[in-house]
Amino acid sequence: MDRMTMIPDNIYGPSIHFEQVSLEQGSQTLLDNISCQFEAGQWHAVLGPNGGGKSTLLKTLLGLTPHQGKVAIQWPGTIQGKGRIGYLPQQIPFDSSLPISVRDYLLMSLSTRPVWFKRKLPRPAMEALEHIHLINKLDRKIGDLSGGERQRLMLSTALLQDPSLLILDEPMTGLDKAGQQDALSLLTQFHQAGGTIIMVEHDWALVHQYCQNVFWIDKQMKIKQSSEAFFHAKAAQNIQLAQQLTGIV
Amino acid sequence: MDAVYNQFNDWVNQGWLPDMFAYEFLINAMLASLMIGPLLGLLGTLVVVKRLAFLSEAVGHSVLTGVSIGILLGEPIESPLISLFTFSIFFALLLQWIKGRSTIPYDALIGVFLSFALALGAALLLYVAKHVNAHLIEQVMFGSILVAGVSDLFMLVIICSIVAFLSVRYGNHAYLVAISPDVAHSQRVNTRLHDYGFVVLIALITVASVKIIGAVLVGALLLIPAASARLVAQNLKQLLILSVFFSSTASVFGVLIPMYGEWPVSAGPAITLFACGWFLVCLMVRQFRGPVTA
Repeated sequence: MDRMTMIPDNIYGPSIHFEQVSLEQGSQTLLDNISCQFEAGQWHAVLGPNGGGKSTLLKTLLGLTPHQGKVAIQWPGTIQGKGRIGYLPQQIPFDSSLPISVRDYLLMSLSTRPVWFKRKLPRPAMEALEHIHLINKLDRKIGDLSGGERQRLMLSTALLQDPSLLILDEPMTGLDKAGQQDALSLLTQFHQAGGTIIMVEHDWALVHQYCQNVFWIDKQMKIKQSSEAFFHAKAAQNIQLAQQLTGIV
Repeated sequence: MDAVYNQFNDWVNQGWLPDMFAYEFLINAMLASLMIGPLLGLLGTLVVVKRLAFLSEAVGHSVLTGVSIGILLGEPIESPLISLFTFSIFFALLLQWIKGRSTIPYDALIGVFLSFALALGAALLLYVAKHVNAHLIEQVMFGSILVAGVSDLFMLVIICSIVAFLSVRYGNHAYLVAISPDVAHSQRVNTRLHDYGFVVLIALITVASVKIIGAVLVGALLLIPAASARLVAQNLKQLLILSVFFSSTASVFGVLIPMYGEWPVSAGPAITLFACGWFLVCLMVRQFRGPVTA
């Protein structure tokens, strides 16, 4: 796979520290006294059962949810305070029937000049569209794209932010094999350049192949790290496989 | 403004314009509608993208209360601007503040505020109606082309300038916040400031438009042109251009045509009916075009 020029050769990814982070919504506990550390420049995976708090953890990191405890992103000295984050949410975040084209979405994410004045995309964006095979659908409404195409667009938009930290909530959802390979090649290039990736993912094999560090959040909203997390992930996948084979749920 | 009135008089005398343009109030109303139309059309696109049609209705109804409070406090009956602006902006900010601190669905919260504003406004208006001409109530609710003065035009010029600056400087971020606040937040866009700014702008534009369109129908002009444009637009630029075009033409036609035809129709209902006409046209175009396929 060709190297993408939109991803620089050297990226200085931050480390992230959670200290006794708790989050409650009404009477429901979404995160329970979580402490963990995501090392700089590594590719981290967060796994766990549905409703375990994986997406909530990412949203807490982004500052989208009020919480107790401390969440600190430590940017390297060279980009102190200027570090950028690329975020891919779990669900495509807007009403797909809106008349918003691929070009519109990229322009409003990348340019400060109003969409209705400036219609020409910067070169890195064109290159990214070429890479994800959406160059011919530039003026197509996002609602008319397939789920996989939208996912690739969102991932590219996140990467085009010139980020040092990527926060990805199930980035492989809706992607076919070829789409997954495209996405993984981009993420690998980003990681090799030094960027930090935190990714919620269910595919254990993919996690095993690409990630250095694995976290597991269980139904009790507790977090476990690395080898113990691998054991849980593997066990969960085996249980799921056994359920599929035997039909027992 | 005298130069403008004289120019229109010259055109009337030369036979280029109908006689009705000899009236200053009509020129004022037309100039006001030329500013109100683009303003409402532009902001309406955000209302539609954010799915906040009810918000503009609620803020529109808060104007009833603002007018009543102004009259009770002794402001000029024709133009209780201080109370109008103060109450409407306070109302919009309070709504946004509670939204950020409760888990109540936003549409339900807006519904409560809308009912409260309407009930309080109606109660106070009926009370102040004892002290003022009852015709005022009709003006406030449905608008009138008779009441737009030079000070109103001046206020509209200022609001147009503010909106033009904000839309050029922060337009892209405003749309990103509207369609995807989480992604916008991750890009270090101050989504909370955008949300507060949006409701304040809605309040400002509502108050500025209320004399022509009326409190009951100003929300309609924030919604209908943009909703019409959404039916046929293929991208954001088309959405904006069509929404501004529909809103502007509806405003100007709604002011001029009833006057020209000597129809006993207030400006607000006429403008809204013209906007509904655009909606019907867009609906037919959409039907004719058929469902869009991938």
